[in-house]
Amino acid sequence: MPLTAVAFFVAALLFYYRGVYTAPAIPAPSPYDIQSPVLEYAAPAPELSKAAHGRAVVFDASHRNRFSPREISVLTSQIASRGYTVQIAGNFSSLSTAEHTKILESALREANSLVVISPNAAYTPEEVTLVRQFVERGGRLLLIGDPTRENQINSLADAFGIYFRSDYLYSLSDYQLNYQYIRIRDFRPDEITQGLQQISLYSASSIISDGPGLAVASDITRSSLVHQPGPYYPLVRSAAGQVVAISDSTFMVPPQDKVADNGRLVSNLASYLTQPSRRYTLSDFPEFFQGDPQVLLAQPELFADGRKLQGILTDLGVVSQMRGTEDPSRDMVFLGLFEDAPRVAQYLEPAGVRIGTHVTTPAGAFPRQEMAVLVLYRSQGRHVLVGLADTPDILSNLVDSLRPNSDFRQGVVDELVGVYPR
Amino acid sequence: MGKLAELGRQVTRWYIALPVSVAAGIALGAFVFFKIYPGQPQIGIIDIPYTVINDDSAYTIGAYLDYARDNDQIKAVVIRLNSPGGGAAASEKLYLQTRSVREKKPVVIVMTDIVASGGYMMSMGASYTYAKGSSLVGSVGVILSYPGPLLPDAPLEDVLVTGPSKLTGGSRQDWTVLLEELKQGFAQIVLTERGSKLQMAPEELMQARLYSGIEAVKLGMVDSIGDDAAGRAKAASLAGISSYGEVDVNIEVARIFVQKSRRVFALNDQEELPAFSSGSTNGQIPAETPLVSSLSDPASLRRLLLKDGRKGAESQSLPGLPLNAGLPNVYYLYVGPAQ
Repeated sequence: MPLTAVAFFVAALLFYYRGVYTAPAIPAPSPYDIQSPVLEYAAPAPELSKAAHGRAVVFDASHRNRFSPREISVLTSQIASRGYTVQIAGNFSSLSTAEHTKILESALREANSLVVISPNAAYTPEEVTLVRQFVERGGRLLLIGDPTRENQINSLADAFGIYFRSDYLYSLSDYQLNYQYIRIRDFRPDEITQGLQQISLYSASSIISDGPGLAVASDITRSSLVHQPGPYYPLVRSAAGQVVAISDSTFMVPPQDKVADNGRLVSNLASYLTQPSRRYTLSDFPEFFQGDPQVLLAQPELFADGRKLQGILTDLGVVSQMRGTEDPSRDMVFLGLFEDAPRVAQYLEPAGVRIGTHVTTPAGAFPRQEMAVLVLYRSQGRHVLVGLADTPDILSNLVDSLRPNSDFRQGVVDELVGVYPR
Repeated sequence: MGKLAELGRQVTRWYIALPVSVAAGIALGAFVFFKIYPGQPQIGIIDIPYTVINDDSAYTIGAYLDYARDNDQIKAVVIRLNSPGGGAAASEKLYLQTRSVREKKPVVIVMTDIVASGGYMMSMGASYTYAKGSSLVGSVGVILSYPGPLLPDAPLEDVLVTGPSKLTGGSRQDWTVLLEELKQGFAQIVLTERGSKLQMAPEELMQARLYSGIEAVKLGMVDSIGDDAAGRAKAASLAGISSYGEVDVNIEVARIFVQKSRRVFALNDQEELPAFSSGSTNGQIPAETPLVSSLSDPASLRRLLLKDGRKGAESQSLPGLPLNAGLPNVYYLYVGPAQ
């Protein structure tokens, strides 16, 4: 019986169990095999010494722009270090179309450059025209998009031959911390890319432009739209160099500004924004004045008008000085009657204005009786505003029309001349 | 007496003694084999219908895996898996537990609709994997729902902390580093477990794409195309068993659970227990659910025992702090294009 029992047991064992399971010899993953990525910080770019220009770099915040002042602090400090003021136009909230158009129009008058970051409200055709005119007059425009922040930047960028694509660039093998944080090493020589060896962008889209691409992503970088090699440009320059566009706003936010040459790029952008390239027009009064302009009167009888003009300039944030003789190194306002025109002929002729029996202007000839004209002269950064009238009373009215919220711009007939018949 | 002696003589005759002895031997052998050791081999069947892996569902699935591993009658395990993944730690727990079962007995995973991200991580602990041609497989990657603000918040006036990262856990860069480490860790699990079977570059794997079962087999992410029967056959083959029985692990664990619940709550034996809903994993039990009914869901029972646990952290401020405690926010999860 024991033999039979053993035999049955063995038979059953062989019937049911025909092999032995051996667990696979796969080693357990070890945490020590994982390489933790490390950030490579670089020294920040030095800030330049101050030089008083009194000009402004305007950051648009009237189109529900998606950035905070803290995020642009590195760029604004670089701008300030170059003697420019930083103006945030708007309060980031929802505004009516009329409101943000008015804010933009006002801000552009005093701006040397305009920075637009991730606007979440579209620019109206009227606003696009304003910005285009601003750029045509030498104003510089920096467009900053960001694929992680929903925006309508193309409503403005389109006007300058620039289009931010709705993708993001990535690399699965050459990145910093995350596959969306791409490294850029290929730059086109330009003032914006001067001194750059490598920058890191933190979720950047590709930009299509009719101008040159200043930075091109490596050939292993892909677009999330097509997952194919490029070339892809996250940094471009267009509109005869007056417009620069970059598709990431995070690269300048601390501490990313200290990664690779990002700080240098911020510094280059600040230099770009603070080059005095803007051509001001008469409509930009009084923003075209630099420093403290002098007020020169053609006749002592006009003293009261001179003081009134000084008060108006003070209300507009410009400090002026009454002078008896002209200092050709400084900006100036000249007030006189038509009979004083020969004293300022050198300022009138470039604007196409002659005073004779008629007042000849680019808009036509007008009888000089009960007339007044405003003429802006600009040369090599110096601006002279000449106000001439038929009589002291009419000159006084002309000065009054320069008050804030007054209507002198209604008489402007071209960039440099305003005509004011009674 | 004489009759008894005659019977004894008859019994000791060979043509009677032999069959009786053989029969007794067979009976003894059968008793030892089937009742003592090792018994008819069993394949444990674990069913995981569509489940987002979280703390609760991982607890339940973990109980299934523990049962399958510790039950000596179960010689192989087949897991029917349908999961888009879920919480990172919960998913990794299931991977490690599956791997632990594999150390003792073969584990075959049969993928159904979707086995993605954390679900795919779990499948890496198996001995062999099957998918349907139409299964969705892959999405190897990590989601971090809170990478931290671009700039650190200003210090609080009414709360004191002992370090700059105490409130946030670290800067945005620190969180991004953490994310990258987890991604590499996930990739390492796949690369190690699949080894030379994997026919794709790590960069392609890190695309986090979903693949069809057909493509996943071609790329070596899954071993073969097959259904439950194939899974059982493969499990039996790997374990070296035949003529096996099957154990519904979900039911067995539910039975044990309900028995324990009766003891814990001293339920009346006459009180009727509800049917156990295997695979119920969402863990959301309405507040008015009767106690007995709530026993059908292990998550609700755990919440009864730890009722101010996670649910409280979701909605209530901590005493004296104006802050809500944050939930874990790292996921091995495929969330779908709608997200």
